[in-house]
Amino acid sequence: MVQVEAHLFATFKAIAGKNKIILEVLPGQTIEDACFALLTSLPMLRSHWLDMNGQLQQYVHVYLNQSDSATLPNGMLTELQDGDILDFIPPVAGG
Amino acid sequence: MNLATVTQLQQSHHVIKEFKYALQPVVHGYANRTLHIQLDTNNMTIKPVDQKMKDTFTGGKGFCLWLLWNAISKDVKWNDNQNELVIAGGPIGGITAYPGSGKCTVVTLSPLTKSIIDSNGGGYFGPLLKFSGFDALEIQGKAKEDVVILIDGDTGTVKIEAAPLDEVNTHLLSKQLTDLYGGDTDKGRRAISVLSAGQAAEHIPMCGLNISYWDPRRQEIRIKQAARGGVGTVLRDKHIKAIVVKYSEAGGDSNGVANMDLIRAAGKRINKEIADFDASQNDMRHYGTPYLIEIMNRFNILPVQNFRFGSDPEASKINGEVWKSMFDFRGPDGCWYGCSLQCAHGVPHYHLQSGPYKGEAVFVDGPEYESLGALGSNLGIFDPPAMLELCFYCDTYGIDTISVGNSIAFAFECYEKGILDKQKTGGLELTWGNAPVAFELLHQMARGEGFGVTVGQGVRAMKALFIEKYGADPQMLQDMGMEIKGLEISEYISRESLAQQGGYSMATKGPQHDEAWLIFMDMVHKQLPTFEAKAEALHYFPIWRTWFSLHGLCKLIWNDIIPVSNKTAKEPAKIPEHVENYCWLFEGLTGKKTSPEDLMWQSEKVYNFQRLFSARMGYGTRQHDYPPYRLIGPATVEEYENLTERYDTQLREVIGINPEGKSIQEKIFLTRQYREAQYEKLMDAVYLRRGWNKDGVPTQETLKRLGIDMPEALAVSAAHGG
Ligand code: SF4
Repeated sequence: MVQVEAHLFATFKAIAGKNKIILEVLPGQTIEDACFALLTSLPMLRSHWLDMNGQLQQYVHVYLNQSDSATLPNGMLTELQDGDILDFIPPVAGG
Repeated sequence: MNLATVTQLQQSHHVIKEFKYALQPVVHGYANRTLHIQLDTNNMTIKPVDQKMKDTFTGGKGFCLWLLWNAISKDVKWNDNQNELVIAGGPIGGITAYPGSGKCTVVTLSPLTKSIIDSNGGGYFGPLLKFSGFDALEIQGKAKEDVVILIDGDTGTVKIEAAPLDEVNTHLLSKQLTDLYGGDTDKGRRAISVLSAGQAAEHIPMCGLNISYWDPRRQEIRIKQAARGGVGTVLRDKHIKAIVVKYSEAGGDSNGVANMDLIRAAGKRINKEIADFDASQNDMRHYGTPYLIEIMNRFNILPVQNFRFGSDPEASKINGEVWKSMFDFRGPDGCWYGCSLQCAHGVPHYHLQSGPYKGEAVFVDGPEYESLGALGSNLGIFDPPAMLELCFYCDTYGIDTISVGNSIAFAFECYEKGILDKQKTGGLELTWGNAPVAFELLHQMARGEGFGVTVGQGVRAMKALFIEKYGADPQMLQDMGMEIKGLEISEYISRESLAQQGGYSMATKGPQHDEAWLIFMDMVHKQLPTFEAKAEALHYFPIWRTWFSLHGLCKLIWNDIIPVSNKTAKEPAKIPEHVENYCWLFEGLTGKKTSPEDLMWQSEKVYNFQRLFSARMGYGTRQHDYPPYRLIGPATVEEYENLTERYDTQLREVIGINPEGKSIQEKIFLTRQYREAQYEKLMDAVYLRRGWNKDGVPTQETLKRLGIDMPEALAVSAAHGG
């Protein structure tokens, strides 16, 4: 199994009631898979994170080792490695 | 504490001058006139607002700039009789069907930057001023004694009243005047908004204005700030204790709109979005802006110890949830009617630990993210009660939290580096995390004595003083003094975002996040990979963000809630659905078909006009657009060593230099050479995109294209090679 540490920030942390969770995914599984694994462990986030079609809302920003998943060549389909850190952060507008 | 009672205030307030004017309704968002008060002669005049003024300057900040341009000559200093304090809401301002419509903008010649400053804040003043009959208020000259100015839109009366017994500090003065003019009913008090500064504004140039409104649920005076650039210092320099506006009949139809259905449609759409998604996104209704602390800390962009570092393990002590647990949720937290995002929280029953009100229980508005960054992490203070103490006293004394936070941080670092010592500070130990010393500095600023007054002059003045008096190294102070154009930098570390460096440094008034906040787009989401993309963003976003202050609107409603449609938007960073809402608002207001390009057009004129105005006053050119090096890269060994791996990797992979075997000093030098050259290139690209010449001044062609080609404007451009 591949172990990944997921960190939750701000509103997401408040909804989940915790700021960190260890996820175990199968070798070859992706960021997207980890998101759904996390929702299985923390179901209180489901109504906040998923749209009517069961897709992740676009305002759920996921960062792999501090890089925005949207900027990675394979995006949410990037395969996870043991020890990766995923950050889940609500949209940040600033100012 | 013995405060004057309402009866005593009534008896002491003798009317110096009374002026009657005809009441008339607002039509399509405009009162169609402005009020000019000449305080040294007590003369009051009404000026008409014609269609050309509306077409060219739109309103709000645009009107303020145009009125000030006509009022002052190029040699005027901030404390000359000729300088004006100009205040305006805006045409859309005051709408209650759409959230975030109660802002006003203040424009003046700044005592801090010496150039043109604009600062905006919430509260009721802007809408009530317009409903009382004026799109803008100009105050010129200085009163001979301390006065309160009352604009009574119920009776059509303006009064200048001597105010000898009124307090100066905001939390007391706002209450006194709300009771005096609003009586003892909620309806009466909600009709009042008080604009005031505080004691420190009599001594230091970094004081802002507090804008009040009555909170009937909590039976409290609430305040928002137009904090930046010394607008409050100008108020007190004019011997004004407060400006009060009174209007009792504010309602959903007070703006005289052309098509209320269209405005309601926009309001319905945004309010549903906020209701559906705020709790899942930033939950502004419970956290307000402090939610940003932990996120900035995570991305290493939270200023710590005078912007040297970007995170601190102790930051969690001032996180959003800490404040949520203290906020008072007894009533709604909108700073104008109809704001459903309601981020204007406050902490009740805080017992003050120091100063003239020690032991008293007070209501503290905020704190906001910027104040937590400036007075918390940037000073190494992570103690929530200390934050409340500092925020409360900054507000009531009228001190800008960003400017004072960065100034104290600069002094702390100078103390650490041995430039200052106990003898020079009057016995104060300026050490990181020393909250009692920070309290004392604020009290000294208010009393006008001690080392606090030196700190209160701001970073730029301290740099000059410490070089001259203590022989400090000018380069070192320049690198670590977190100000640009004399204005202290707001609370984000931009070292890894070239676009944000430009956003701060090329902002005409000075480095304020409300004009350009591109740090996430650039550094995190990597949406601006080229110079052209950065220049385009530094063209679009500052102009777009300026648009809000033309209309008296709050920007948070634009970008602190994200609509579902953003998923498929071509340019999600612009939040097209919300831009469409704003088109509907302006179209609903005026009846004129309005496109996103029309909104940008309104703003581009004003944006360029402000730049030109600054050039006319001797600023607003390339030489003023340079940041301290700490904003661009690691300025000291400790900063480099804090992130050695990052900087070494950049040397190797981006700059093409092998860091092996090089000393830290060499690596700092090579990094600096590269980063400063990048910044120069960015300036060229941005100026070109904005239609400015190499000196950063709008060209005559640009002025003509925008229709701001008045002869004097063209002459200013020509004088700068435009
Ligand atoms: S979002 Fe906050 S600052 Fe903006 S208008 Fe509403 S309460 Fe005021």
